[in-house]
Amino acid sequence: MVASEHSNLSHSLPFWKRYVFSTDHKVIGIQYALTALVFLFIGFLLMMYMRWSIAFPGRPLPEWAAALLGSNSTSGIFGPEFYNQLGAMHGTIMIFLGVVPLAVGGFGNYVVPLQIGAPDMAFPKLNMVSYWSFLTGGVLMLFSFFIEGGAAKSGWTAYPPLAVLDADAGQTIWLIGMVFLITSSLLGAINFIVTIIQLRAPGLHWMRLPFFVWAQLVTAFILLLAFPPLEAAGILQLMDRLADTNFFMPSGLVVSGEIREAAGGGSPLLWQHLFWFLGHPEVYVLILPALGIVAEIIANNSRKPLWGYRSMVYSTLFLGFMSFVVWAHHMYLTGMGTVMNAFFQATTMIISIPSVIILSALIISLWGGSIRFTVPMLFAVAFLPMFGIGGLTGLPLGISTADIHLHDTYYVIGHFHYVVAPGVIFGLFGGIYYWFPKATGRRMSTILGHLHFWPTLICMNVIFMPMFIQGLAGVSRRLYDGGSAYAHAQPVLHWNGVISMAVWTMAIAQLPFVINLFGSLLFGRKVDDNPWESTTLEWTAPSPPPHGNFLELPSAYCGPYEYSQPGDESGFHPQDQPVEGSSA
Amino acid sequence: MRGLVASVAVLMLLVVNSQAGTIKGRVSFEGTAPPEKSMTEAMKSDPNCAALHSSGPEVMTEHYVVAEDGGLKWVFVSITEGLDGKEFDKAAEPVVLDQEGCVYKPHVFGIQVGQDLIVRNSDATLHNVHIIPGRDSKNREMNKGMPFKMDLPPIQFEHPEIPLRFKCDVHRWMFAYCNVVEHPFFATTNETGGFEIKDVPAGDYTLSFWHKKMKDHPVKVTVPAEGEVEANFTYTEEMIPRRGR
Ligand code: HEM
Ligand SMILES: [Cu+2]
Repeated sequence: MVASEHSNLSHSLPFWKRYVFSTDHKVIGIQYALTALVFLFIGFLLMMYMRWSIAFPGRPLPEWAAALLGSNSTSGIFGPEFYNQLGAMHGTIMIFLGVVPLAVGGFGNYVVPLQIGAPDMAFPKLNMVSYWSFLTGGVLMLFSFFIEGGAAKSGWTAYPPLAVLDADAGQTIWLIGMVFLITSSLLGAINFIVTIIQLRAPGLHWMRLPFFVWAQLVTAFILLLAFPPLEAAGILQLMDRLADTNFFMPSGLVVSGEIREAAGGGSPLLWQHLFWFLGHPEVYVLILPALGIVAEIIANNSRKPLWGYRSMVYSTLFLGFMSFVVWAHHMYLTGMGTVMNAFFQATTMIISIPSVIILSALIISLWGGSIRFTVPMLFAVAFLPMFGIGGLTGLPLGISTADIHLHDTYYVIGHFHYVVAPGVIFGLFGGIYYWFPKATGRRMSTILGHLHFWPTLICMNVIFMPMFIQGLAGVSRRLYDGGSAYAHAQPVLHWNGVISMAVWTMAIAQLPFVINLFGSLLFGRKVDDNPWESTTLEWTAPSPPPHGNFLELPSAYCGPYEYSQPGDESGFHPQDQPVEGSSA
Repeated sequence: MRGLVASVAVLMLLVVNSQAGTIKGRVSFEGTAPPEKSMTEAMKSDPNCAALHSSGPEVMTEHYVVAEDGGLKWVFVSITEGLDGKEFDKAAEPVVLDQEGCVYKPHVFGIQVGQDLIVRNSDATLHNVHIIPGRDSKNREMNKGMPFKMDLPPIQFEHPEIPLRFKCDVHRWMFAYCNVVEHPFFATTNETGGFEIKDVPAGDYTLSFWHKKMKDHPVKVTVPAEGEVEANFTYTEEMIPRRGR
């Protein structure tokens, strides 16, 4: 009933209301996803310039590449300040403007209401505001590259005193941009929580929720609880920069050989606490949706129920909770003291347990399955060992004594990139290939998918594996010259060229994906509503789903992954199909 | 009509130009200047810099560079009063501040508001140019690393400031004094203490002498419509601030 009213309504809307200022969760999801893909591309582009400076410090860029930089380079050479801009903005863009908007704003928005059998999000207008606030923040960040002094250059972590002392306006715009991005995330989080709690289809009780919805629910709670402290901290840093307050500025600070004239009395460490109180949970905001996507793809393509679904759900809840008590493991070297270090070291070891449970459950889910090696499945399967490497290499960083050596080296860069690049990004690629038919009614090309997957997998490892070697040798992160000025870096310097070559090769390997994404919109093979023979509710809606999603709102009669059940000839049992002896 | 306006303008320009003179003079120092300090020890903190001076003359501080006949180097001379209502061009040529042998060259220089400054690194070692405006200055602080032989993109200053300090955050002995003025009528004294300011419109002016250790001193001059006017100034030992002696 509700659904058909919705679909009638959509026809009367003018173009700009349907596709620009839309309140439809699917349109907003696609807006989020496309914008995020553009930002991921920009973040990648910035990083490709960084890799030039690291591999060939002081050598002029090729002319065409220098031309793109405008006055940021003179005769093809750019200095360390511009490298710092690139680095800070690569991190900021990848996390806050790329991965989170794609994973939460894109996939969350598009898939969650469909998977829970809802006609839309609980607060469609809030949803729209969330997107536009995100876009405003993103455009501000990009705009800052074009002002005098350029974009923020104090790292994505924006540590004071450095971030406050920086006289250029880029850091101010970064802070204002962050306020918009955080506001966007908070609005989105409230919306997801209410939607998942209130709008589930009849019969879709908690233990029948697809794991992806659980992942999004916990993600939303993390965003809701972790972001406000950073929003407050961001405004305090703005005050320090603009109103000469000293929340984060100590007394007697010596800057370039002279004592800074200011009241001081603030604490730079306070910022680090507030930042990482968001920063660490944010890691799970990146990971959980990807884990959710991977779980959906693995269940579907191994044609088996997820192994240990309940323990995965409980682990996710526990993970969400624990993510709030590990933040200071980023601060072992600040001199917090061994008692604090011991506490955070213990919580960090504890939080690895639920992560290991989830990853193990996913691996065991493959066991004995009749695996279909579709393109989404390739990405999902590759995610497992990549994420595993990322997770395991994190353990030494969680041990405060080992961290003395590893802190702020390329080992850290290698570690978290295994988590977010061949990890999360693979999960997101898998999700795009998996849900593309639902969103468009067409399938993406398998051949192009393979051309995308294999070189990307190889390059990712050639890029990030040597970073562990460099880091163990003591090469620091955030060096515009990749360490070439340091004696101890010399034995591992040759890896810089190798890594950079792999980066540029990987850029080329993304071409098949871009061609596939847009080409398949026009030329992809047309598919029916459920091309993957899947069980969850989104596949009972038409492809693409109309405004209001379902022709008739579904009910759920069973768990989310009823594959290959005894006596079931079709091999899969969609959630909306009645089961004997079970009620909605 | 347009042609008429143009020719009138050209005529006026000619008139203005033809009614311009030159201020020429010499700054000298009387008495005994405090001895300069050697920077050889300090330079050992960066072997790259030390290597650049392994042979050749020792690098010294340049506070009181006095010639045998008393000529004082590194005094910045500029018109500070009398230019109201007068017109002058914006300088087109950029000023170059070089870092060579881990020393700023020149040590003292002038620049017009809006004129391009190109900061150059001729050493294959890291310098970090830190421009430190005074407390009440509206000029922007700037802080840039220059790890290679390279130029920075041209910089301009929007507000007059004497002096605007430059220092290297890597090498604590490296300082330069940039003097930003609104007009092109300035000069810095050379080894003999001599200076010359050309094309000054005829009129009465106050000329100021700035030295980085000693107090500013204004001198009145009248520039003729043609030819030169001489303006000399002598610092004496007594003018050295106590701390600098
Ligand atoms: C696959 C492609 C990627 C490559 C090759 C790459 C490479 C790099 C490099 C070379 C650095 C700078 C190291 C330094 O100077 O210290 C860096 C920093 C960083 N990257 Fe990536 N990255 C990639 C993707 C991502 C993704 C997907 C994310 C996040 C989701 C991300 C987040 C960051 C962050 C947060 C930093 C630290 C920035 C800072 O120091 O403030 N990167 N990355
Ligand atoms: Cu230097």
